[in-house]
Amino acid sequence: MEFISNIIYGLIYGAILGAVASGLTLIWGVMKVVNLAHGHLAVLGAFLAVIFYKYTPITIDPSLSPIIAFIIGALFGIFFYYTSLHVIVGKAETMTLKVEMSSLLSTFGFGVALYGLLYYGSAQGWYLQFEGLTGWTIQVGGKPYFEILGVSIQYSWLVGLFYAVILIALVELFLRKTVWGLAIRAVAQDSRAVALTGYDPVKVKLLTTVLSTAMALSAGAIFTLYIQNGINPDLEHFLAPLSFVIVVLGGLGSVIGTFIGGLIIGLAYGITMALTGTQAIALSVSFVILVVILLVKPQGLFGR
Amino acid sequence: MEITKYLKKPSSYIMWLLIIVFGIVGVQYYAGYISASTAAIFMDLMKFIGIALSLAVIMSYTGYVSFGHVVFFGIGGFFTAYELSKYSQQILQGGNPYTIFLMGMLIGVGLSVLLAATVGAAVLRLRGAFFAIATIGLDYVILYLEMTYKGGAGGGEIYFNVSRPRFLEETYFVFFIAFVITLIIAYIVKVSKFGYGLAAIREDEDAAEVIGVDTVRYKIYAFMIAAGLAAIWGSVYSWRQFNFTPENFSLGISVDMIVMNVIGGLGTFIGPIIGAFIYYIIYRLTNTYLPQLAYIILGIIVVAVVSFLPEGVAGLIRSKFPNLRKYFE
Amino acid sequence: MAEGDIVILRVEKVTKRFGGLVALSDVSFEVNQGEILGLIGPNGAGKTTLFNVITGVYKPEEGRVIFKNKDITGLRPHKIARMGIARTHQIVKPFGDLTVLENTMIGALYGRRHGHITEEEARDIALDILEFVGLKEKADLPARILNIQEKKRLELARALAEEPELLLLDEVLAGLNPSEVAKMLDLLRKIRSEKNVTMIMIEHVMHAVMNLADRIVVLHFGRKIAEGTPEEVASNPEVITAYLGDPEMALKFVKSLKKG
Ligand SMILES: Nc1ncnc2c1ncn2[C@@H]1O[C@H](COP(=O)(O)OP(=O)(O)OP(=O)(O)O)[C@@H](O)[C@H]1O
Ligand SMILES: [Mg+2]
Repeated sequence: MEFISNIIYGLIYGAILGAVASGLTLIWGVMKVVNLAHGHLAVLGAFLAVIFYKYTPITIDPSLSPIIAFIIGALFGIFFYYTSLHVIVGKAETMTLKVEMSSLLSTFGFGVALYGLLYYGSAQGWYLQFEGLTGWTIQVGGKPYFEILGVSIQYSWLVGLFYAVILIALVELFLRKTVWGLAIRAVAQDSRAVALTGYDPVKVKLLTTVLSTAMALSAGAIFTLYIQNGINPDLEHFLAPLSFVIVVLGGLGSVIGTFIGGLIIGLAYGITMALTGTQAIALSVSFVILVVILLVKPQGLFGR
Repeated sequence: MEITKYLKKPSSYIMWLLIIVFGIVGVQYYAGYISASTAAIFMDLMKFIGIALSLAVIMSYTGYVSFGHVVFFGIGGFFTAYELSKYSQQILQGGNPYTIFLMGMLIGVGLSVLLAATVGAAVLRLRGAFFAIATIGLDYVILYLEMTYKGGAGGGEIYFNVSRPRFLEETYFVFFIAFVITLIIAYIVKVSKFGYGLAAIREDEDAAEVIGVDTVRYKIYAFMIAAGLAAIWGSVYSWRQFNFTPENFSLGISVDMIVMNVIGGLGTFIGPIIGAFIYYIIYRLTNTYLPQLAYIILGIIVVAVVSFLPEGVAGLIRSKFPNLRKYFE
Repeated sequence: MAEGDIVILRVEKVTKRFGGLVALSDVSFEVNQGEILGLIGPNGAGKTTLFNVITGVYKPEEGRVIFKNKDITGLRPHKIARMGIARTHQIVKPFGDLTVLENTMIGALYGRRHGHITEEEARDIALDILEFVGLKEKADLPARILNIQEKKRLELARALAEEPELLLLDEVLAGLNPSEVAKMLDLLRKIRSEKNVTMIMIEHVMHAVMNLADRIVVLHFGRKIAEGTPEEVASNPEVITAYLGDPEMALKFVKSLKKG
């Protein structure tokens, strides 16, 4: 019974982690910007969910926060692009290894600054009494959860799951069904060729960054629906590496791969939790999977 | 001999200057002319320069961003603390803690170098971001394994006690020896033929291989050296703190190392040293008022340097003052 | 092939595939010591791939590469480089952040005299060679700021600094304007007369190959379709249909160049 519940929790958790990673699929997997700020951006989204719930004059129900975080994330994405990426990738004709490494370092810097800001806020008492979404539940028939197979599942998780699926479907649609999606794919290969087709490569890069940032913040809010408490800047140390693991596992640029990668990591987590009961081991399993995948099949499970 | 030849080059002068200055400070401190808090500043500086240079060998010289480099710092510290706590009885009864310390350090350094030569060798087949991520994975795996260690204080923490009458003064010299070793090794790696090979790998690995550089072997050697140096610093750090905690595996330390390298300038020996000084100044200034501000400022500086000064402060000095180039290698 | 020529490189029945694509198919030829062999063929014929096979970047599925009577097939590139084969790249690969001098020194340090050369010797060799290729004034500049012509010269300098016995040149004339082409040709002639190296040159600038090469090998869709003196190749109907277009024009072209 314990085992089944761990698997079910693992799958739900995995889908939500897949959503956190999906923005990274876009910016790293497709545009080749190694966005080390991704985890911090997700944490920012998680903060927003709590701030809207507790620290703003009008209380916004957390079940709406992924949408609001998406909108704020889109605006923040413009800021992110022009402060950290434009100089480095804006004019780059192809994303060579050197450009990739510069993008890695500049987004790293942005992430460090954002981390400092979130920490600063915490320490200044902006959200000192950080209690996450304590007290918030979604209730149906007077109960915040339902049971199947003896496993109790919270309604708020289902809301998170719903958003996670929407978010992943959104990137998939964007990449496959729009010309912009094609342009993003092309821009990492050869900006000049994209320019010839009439698209401004800089706009394509900006749009990708904006979308990816919006997704990161939104996913952070989704993640908050799942864990509800324990939101702090250090969450990044957990979210960012796992996002990279999931993107690599699924195959760079494969959105469906990201989703399945998320499920696999979630499952691995759930199963090892069930077997060992130790979070430390459960987490390190993900990284063993990562290192093995990188060495055996660097293109990932669904990569070309 | 080759090595003494390198140590006479103009580009080694700054290194000698550092060694002399830090040495004099140590002697003054031992003689009681310098306060413990001032000496602590110099010790922190040595540590920052040390860890920055340890990463520089693989990141800055060779072009492989070892994001989880702190794993070696952690391993060095863990085994030092482990040995010192294991033999705490002997030490209390008057045994020499330094032999135990040295033994712990050697185990830590040896295992780090071994890890770099084995797992590292496999991971070095990956390029760019993949390598960076794989090293983060490596750090997490080792961290989580370590956290399951139930000895010591539990939860992966180990405390030990070394009661020496002049512990702090002696520890200054422990740091100083590690400092001299790190400087000399990092310097020689940079200016030797080996260093040219590493630079070629950083610039274009395929071209380097075709020109005759054994890229596979060179990368592994560089990683082993970088790992060993990081482990030395993890070890002396634990010694000074009387403990080891899983915090010693925290990516925050990797972040410090990377920040110092980027700000100072990639590809030079002097870069990480300059970076460490700048880092330390910002760290001290903000620490007095608002510790969290350090990250905000450092993050902004990193973005600015990567965008507008890709060769860092050392690169700026080198291009603005060509005459100084031969000193700023 | 004259009697008494020493064969320095022998490519034997080499086949290289990329997935379904056969980039080289059963290619065999020999290179004699001291000669310049031209390697021509339309785009995508497999010329660069052949260089990659010779230098160990790719391992062929079938066939062997024999250099100075040693089988070097499948050796790692750095081993082959140290045995005395150097190359330039079609798409130049300078070590951008290093100086021109450092770029060239690395060639000397790791080339044929690897392990038996001090830094000072390498520096002297590098300076000589930079003088030779006309880049001495740029010695202390970072390679990335050179223009394309200078970058091509640097590729050449770096390869020469390895002191190779066999030099593989991949389109060193491509992307140069006519006066730069003329200068580069002078340089190649100088290499031929002053350095004792055998060369294989891939070239699309036809008058240059026809002029410089002693013999020419023609690849087409990964197969060798002809081999011989420039005149023989230029009048070979198969080559003409594959490559040279109008046969009469081609012959006139070749003859006029040989005279001039
Ligand atoms: N690494 C590779 N992977 C897949 N296909 C490759 C690879 N390298 C070359 N090819 C293919 O092999 C064929 C031969 O390429 P190659 O570069 O050798 O041609 P080339 O004769 O040098 O042409 P060009 O004159 O344009 O330089 C081409 O169809 C090319 O697309
Ligand atoms: Mg070619």
